[in-house]
Amino acid sequence: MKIAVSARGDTLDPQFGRAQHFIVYDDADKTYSNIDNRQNCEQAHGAGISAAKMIADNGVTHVITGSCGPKALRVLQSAGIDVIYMSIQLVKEALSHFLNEQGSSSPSQ
Amino acid sequence: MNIAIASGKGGTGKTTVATNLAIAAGKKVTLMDCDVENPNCHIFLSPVIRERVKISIPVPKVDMERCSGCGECGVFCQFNAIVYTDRQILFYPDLCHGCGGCSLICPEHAISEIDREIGVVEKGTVGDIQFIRGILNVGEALVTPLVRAVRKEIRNSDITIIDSPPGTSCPVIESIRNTDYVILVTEPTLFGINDLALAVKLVRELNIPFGVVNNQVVKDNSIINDFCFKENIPILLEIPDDRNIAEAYSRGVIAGRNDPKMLHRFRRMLSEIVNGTYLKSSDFFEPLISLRE
Repeated sequence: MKIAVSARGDTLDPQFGRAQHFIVYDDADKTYSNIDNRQNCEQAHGAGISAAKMIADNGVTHVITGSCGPKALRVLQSAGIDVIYMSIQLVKEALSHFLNEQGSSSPSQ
Repeated sequence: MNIAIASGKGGTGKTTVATNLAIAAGKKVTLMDCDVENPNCHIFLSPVIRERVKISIPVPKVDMERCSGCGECGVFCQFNAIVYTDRQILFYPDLCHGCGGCSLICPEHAISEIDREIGVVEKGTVGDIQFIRGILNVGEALVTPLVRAVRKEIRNSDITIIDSPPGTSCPVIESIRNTDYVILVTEPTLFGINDLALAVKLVRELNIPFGVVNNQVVKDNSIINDFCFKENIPILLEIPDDRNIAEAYSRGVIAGRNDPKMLHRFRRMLSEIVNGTYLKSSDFFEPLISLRE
């Protein structure tokens, strides 16, 4: 699994398309990376569509976010990406919660 | 001569000015209602519509047999209206501006264009007045191409009066660009002056000569007068805050039809604009024509 969490610093960004960035956790090698989302935030329309395309192009399999607009959702779904909605504040906790639910081990950090 | 009637704030009296000017103009005049989201000039004129043309924009149709999944269409699109993901092309019609770029850029020539209807243009007459208007389809988000289609219908008239939408957005720009003169209608209120200043900025950016009509004037109009004096903008006409004018409007009647003094003032304003007096304005302060006299 490769899980992208919409983020604002270390807190969960409640929106998907105009999130500041995405923290990506790779379950296979237990590593983290960051994807900047500023170029999508700057768009007047369809920010979620281009953010979703960017996420899909990065090989992400799951997205954790507060909410996701219908246009962005369509892109994610057609790319076979699962979207999980959470209101947990910290990215760390959201990831742990998700991975526990999945029956995987928690991330090391 | 093409004269656009615009404003910053809505509800200041653009249609009042446009319709009164149209009947004041006499022969060989065209009235063009470019407020395609909310056209209302027809209420005051009851035109006989002789022609109705559907207006569309071209949108992409992708032949998936030819599509190689390169995603170049999505990269090109400025509006995120088309995107390739996982062996599918996703298209969002309400984001597409009909630029045709994706069909040109596709290396496999997989994209053809089909029409998406956005509204209609209606053409007709009312007595000596040629009447043209656009009506946007309900729920349609893309406005400007329809305004462009209405503007294309410029006739061989001496005077064309263009009733614009309110505000300073793209549809307004499309309505007023390439006209000879813009009349900005305002009211002596805080909202009026705020939005007038925005409209003035726009018209100056487009480099079109302009003047102000102050509608619903009261005892103290310094809020507008001071601004226009400071900015060297002529006040072409003042229309009083008069119940009779409001009543006529609410009944769909053009006030000038029943008020010869009002009609005369509009004729004078029109002839001053046509003769270019205002183009040289530099030291106007007192409103040139006031209906309060």
